[in-house]
Amino acid sequence: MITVKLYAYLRDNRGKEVSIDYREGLTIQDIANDLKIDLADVSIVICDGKDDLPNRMKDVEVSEDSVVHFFPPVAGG
Amino acid sequence: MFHENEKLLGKEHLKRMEAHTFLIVGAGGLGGHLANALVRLGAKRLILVDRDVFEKSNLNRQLFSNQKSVGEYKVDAVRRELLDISPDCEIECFYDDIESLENHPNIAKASVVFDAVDSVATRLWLEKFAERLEVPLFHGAIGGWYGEVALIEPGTRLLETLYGQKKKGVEKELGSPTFTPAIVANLMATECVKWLHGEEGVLRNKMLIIDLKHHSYQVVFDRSKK
Repeated sequence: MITVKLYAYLRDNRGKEVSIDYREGLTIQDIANDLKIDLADVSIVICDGKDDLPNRMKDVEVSEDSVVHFFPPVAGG
Repeated sequence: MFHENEKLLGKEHLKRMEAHTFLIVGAGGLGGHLANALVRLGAKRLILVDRDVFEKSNLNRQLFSNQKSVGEYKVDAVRRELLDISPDCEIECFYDDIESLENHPNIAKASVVFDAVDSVATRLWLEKFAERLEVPLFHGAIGGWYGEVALIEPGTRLLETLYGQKKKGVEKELGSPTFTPAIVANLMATECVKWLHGEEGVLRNKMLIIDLKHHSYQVVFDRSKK
């Protein structure tokens, strides 16, 4: 089971934490698709302690007990 | 004044604070708290840039907005309050967008820049501007329960990497409550002091992501550990 932690408005209609069943070859992009999250709305993805921009993380394959975080951008002053 | 800080920060602290000219771009939620912290830490030279006046909608979170200062230029009200705290502080105010001040000789005197604006485009511009001045940029941003802080050194373009083509952040949907700018601005000031004294543990070219609602504090872009 993969744990996906969401922040800010990404939680709308999804909740703050979502569990996803593991399947062979599952990628960050697949998880975003499953949750109907547009990676263009995400500023940072963290998967099992490795963080990077969504376009560099999207093809990362997760493992059975991965923890993935999706952060949207923050820009207020 | 402000010698109390030396108990924690050492005898050199005030001397080091006095050696710098701090440019705060944005005198709203983050900028007001930041200016307050820097002056109480012993800053002697500040430059404030903001074209806006205080509005009633700022009262919930912008430190120096009050019934008297509504309608007044933010930089003027902030300057007046800071001088009440530290009368011999030199504070220069600018009432324009920072982009239009690019070639102003006094702006170029800044030795530390603070990004306390509310526009992604201006943040990206500031990153390049600090790079040209070859000075550190302390970045802070807020939205709802969330915030982020980073020290960006010239040439690293952390913000360009982070924001990419994005035009806005979560604050458009969530607004900003009373506490978030105060916390994030004071973290920016904390990082600045640590940088000033060469302390370890500064968020140098990495970013702290803050989620006050669930008390999640994550450092990202930390490439030193890999």
